[in-house]
Amino acid sequence: MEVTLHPKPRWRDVVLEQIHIVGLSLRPVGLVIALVLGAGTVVIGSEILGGGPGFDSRETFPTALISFLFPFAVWWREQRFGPAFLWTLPVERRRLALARVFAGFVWLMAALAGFAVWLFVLALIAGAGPAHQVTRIPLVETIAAYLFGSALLVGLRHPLRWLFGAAGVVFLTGNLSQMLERFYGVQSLLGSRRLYDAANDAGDVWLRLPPPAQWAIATSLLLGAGLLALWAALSRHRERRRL
Amino acid sequence: MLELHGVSHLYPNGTRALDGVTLSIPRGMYGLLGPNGAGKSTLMRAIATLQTPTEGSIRFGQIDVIREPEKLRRTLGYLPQDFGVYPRVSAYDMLDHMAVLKGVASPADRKATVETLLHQVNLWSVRKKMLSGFSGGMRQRFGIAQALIGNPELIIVDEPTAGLDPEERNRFLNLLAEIGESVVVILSTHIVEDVSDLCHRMAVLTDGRVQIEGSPHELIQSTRGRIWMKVVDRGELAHVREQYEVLSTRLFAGKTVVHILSDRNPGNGFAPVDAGLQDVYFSTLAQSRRAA
Repeated sequence: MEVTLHPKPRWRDVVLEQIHIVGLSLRPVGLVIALVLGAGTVVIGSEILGGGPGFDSRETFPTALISFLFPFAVWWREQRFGPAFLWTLPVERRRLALARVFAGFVWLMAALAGFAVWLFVLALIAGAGPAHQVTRIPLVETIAAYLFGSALLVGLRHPLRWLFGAAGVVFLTGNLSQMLERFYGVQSLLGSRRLYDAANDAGDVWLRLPPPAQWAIATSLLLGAGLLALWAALSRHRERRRL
Repeated sequence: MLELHGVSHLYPNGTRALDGVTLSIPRGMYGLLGPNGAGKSTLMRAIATLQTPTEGSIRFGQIDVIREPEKLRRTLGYLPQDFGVYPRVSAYDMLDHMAVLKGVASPADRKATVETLLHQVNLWSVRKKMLSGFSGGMRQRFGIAQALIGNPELIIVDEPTAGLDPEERNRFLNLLAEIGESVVVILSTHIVEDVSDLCHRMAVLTDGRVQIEGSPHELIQSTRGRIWMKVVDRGELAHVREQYEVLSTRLFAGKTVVHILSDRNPGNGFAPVDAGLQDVYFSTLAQSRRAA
């Protein structure tokens, strides 16, 4: 019996289609973002009208945290492991997962661009140096956080358990080191004091542009680690067959 | 033709879900009957390339399904038992998405395919509605529509009428009957009427093994003269169960209609009755429980 096989889908079509379908799925998230920005506009606008500055250069934007959690929205209700129905389609499993990660990245960058435009316009109105405000958005960290978040979702069956577990470990370790510091001076050994000092210094550093070489190395390391984590996570989805 | 030889599957926890399943499934509607836990869904997933069986071989025409699963996916339509994808997307957009992933590259071809299928499954009027707002019957019809994208030559439908009301079930079965003429359609179900209404050939699966296989007519013929019926009071039922092999009981006007399996005339008021596929199914289950 001769079986007629359909052509495999083109990779470009798959990627574009994932961008389309992920965009449709993210509409509620977009609505939430719009509401938050709307509320932010009201708050900042009220402060500006009241004679206040509206912007505080010591504020940080939690875009990295949001982008770390963004993959949860991208993969919401998607069956990532086991005999998921979508794996009966003639698209290689790892590549389909990668296409979805990329689709989420595209929408994340679109949201970030929208945020940057919003920030620029508000800062322009407030006379708060719009270009400077926009450069405070941590782009590399945001991208790296998205890569790590995606690796978490794609690579682990129960990412929330790992997340809460890690948060719990960090919390306990922090408290333990404080206790040990009080009685045994171990905090320095654990390095948390040095980290704290480094963070304070970093706060000063980011008021100026970092040295290009240092920035390039840090960016490469951060993004490289994120891509490596994502690649390892995607490897869990390679086709396994009995030969 | 779909050929399965000695297909077995052992889960890591030691459960043997399939045990030496050997079947030859020709074009047309093929029914796979079995109770819950018989291994039907495991077998469907193995054929649909979602699981690799631990032993055995599966061939569809020239395709070795286990070694080349990606080839089978290029001619497969699959409607799983639990079909739930992208609830916040409309039926039209979801079908279009599936069409892309199934290799329908041309936008014009996709548009024609999606529109034809939506009309065929009678979902055209709700094509812009979110899938989350679909009733059970609408979801199943949508499910068969996506399974038909790309004119597959092997269609697997796993428990499609579970939870549907009679009207929806009827509509769905009519749809399946239309498509089941020229391709291989495997209908996996525990509802006997679905198989008797639609399928040219069938098998009964229990405990991961094929117990009987053939056309419904042949299988019914094999129980000719062995099914007996009697109407008893409810209080007598326990006694009847002790004495005879009871296949099924059914309440009717306050009494119980009992069907039993017996090679000889049991007497005691039992009358011979023309066997139906349900009797065949129940007798097979009873025999497999005895053998176990």
